[in-house]
Amino acid sequence: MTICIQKELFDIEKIISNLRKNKPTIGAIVSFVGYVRDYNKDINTKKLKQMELEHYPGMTEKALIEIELNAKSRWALEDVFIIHRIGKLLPCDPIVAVVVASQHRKNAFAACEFIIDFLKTDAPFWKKEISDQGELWVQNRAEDNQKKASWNLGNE
Amino acid sequence: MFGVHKKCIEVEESKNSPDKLLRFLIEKEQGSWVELLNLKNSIRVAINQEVSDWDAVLTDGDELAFFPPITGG
Repeated sequence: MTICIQKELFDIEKIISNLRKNKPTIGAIVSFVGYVRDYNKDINTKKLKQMELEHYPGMTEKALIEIELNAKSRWALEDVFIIHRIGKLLPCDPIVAVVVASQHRKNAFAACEFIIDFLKTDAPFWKKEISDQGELWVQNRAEDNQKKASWNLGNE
Repeated sequence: MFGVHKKCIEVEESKNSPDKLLRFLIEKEQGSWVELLNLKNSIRVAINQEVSDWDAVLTDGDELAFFPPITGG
């Protein structure tokens, strides 16, 4: 189980091959990668120049570890890798990746979705958009809270 | 909102919850603390880097954070 918060770009292929190394019990890997979008479909007159990501050091790591542990208590998993970038990002840059390894696909699919849903609402990261129309802290989306809440209703 | 990441505060023992502390700071310093109170419903509270609530009990040396809705991922 690995948690990484970094400014640098990451290579998803490398993460996956490292995760699989010496682990022949892994039968399935599910990965989610989030990228910087240009732009929001509802405000399409703006042109995104850059995204700035801040976090709350210390709490972020704790929150991510807790999310991973919760996922591991719900599903049998071989390994989990979460990486989130901070600092300045450009359109099309990868921001986040969640990689889950298990013996069979079902657990990896479910746990990967669970982890990204909880990361969205519980890990203290904040995005600031810098566009040709100025700077704006991104607002949270009600769908994200609904998505997280749906897990408590037994959506497995 | 405040332009600072950290602030050390000394208060009486009776101001022992995030809510009481915020009201004390408003009385003392006004400014952005008032704005924070207006946003109270959307602001989250963390004590020692764990999500907590406005009426939780604070003890000496605790790290208290107020933060806006999370937008990572």
